[in-house]
Amino acid sequence: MTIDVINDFDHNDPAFIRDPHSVYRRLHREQPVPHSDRYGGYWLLTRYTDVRNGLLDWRTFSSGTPGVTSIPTSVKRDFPEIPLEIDPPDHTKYRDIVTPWFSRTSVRKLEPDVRRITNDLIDHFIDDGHADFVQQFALPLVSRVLTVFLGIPEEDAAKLTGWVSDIFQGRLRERDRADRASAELIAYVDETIAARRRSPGEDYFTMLTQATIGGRSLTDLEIRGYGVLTMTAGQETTVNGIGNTLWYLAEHTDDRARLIADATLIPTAVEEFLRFMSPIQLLGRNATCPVEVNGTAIPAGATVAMCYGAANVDGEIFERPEECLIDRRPNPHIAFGTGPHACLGAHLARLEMLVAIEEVLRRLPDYRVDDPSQLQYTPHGDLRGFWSLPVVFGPRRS
Amino acid sequence: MDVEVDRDRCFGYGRCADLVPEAFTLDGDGKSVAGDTRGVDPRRLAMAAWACPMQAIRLLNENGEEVPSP
Repeated sequence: MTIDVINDFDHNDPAFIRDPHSVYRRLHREQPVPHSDRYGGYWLLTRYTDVRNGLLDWRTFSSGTPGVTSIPTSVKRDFPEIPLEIDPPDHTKYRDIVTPWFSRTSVRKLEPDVRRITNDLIDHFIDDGHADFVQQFALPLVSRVLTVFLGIPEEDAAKLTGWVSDIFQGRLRERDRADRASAELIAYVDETIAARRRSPGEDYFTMLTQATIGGRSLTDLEIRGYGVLTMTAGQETTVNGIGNTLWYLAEHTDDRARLIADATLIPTAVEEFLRFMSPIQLLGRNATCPVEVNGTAIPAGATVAMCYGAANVDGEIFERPEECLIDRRPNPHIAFGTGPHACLGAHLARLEMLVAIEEVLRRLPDYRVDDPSQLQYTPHGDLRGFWSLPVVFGPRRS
Repeated sequence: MDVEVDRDRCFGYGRCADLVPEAFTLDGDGKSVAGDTRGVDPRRLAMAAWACPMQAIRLLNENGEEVPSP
């Protein structure tokens, strides 16, 4: 399939999902702010400086509408996900409530759990000689870590995964499926809030029930906004980060050998994997007024996609932008965005990627992609990664 | 040029320490700390302020007045 990326850009086209870099190369050269009629129409910012400035300019590029970050909108929602879909100054107050839970020091305390879950999953398939690194590893890893983070039963992880993938995948072709999953996820969050109000603990939801904003307690609807955001934003993104990385290391055994020989390189490599294969390729904003970007006029009310993936391969910022250099420094990628809505879960995502790489390389150092024709990408390109990554590997190591 | 890191805003993304390691380090809490920046190229300090996701780095001139970030 060939696509006219200048006049008919579509981030869900399989050709784009397979090879976004060649599309970005053309856009950077020929039209850095293209418009597409798809999904109700949207503009795309692709230059690093435009994306960076746009993300900082929250007055012009607003996040304050439910569903605005997803193109097309995922499900109809009449409440905002908090703090993602709130603009400053209120945003700052909402974000401050949860920031301590996502800090580097708080997240570091989860490392034993992340390692336990990672190894438990590897134990399950290591004797089989084969596994699907997304379905049997990245997905359950990320959802189980999320349950630990949120203080909800680890047995509920599979349910969360099902709802979130139904929401993101269903929004393209099966809206009913997405709406059903969303309703179930909301019901689950509401039940959890009610349970914590009845019997408080030391967990994330209890903290929210006890938090105050402007001298009053958070409402159930506000806490729902926090809960739904944490459960959706914290899953497929990190799954993509892990899946993309494990695919890359299967295909580039020289880099894999370097990381096996010197594990201290892994944190720097993680940043490069995030740049080179950004789990979030783009997120939407709403233009509140007419604005000109890089010579292109964007009207008020327009949907504008901030293309992290394109910004991260902008040759004006990065040398050899389309090469994955695992020791690249400095590396000012914006895979986690920037500005008021920069990713709160960044430290947790980094920790999960780090531990996943360390343990897979330690225990399955010779894994390889089984049959490239069995690789399956996500059906959408805004959150880009693998949905199925079947690998084979040799005899067990402890 | 002097710099000031707003510790309340800093979230420890680590951009500054990666870009300008001669001026910024991350402390035990994972938050940015600026060292002695007088010998550091002001353009590099400005780059750290520019790249900070939280816009937590302020640039100060010799009179202690804030210099707008590029």
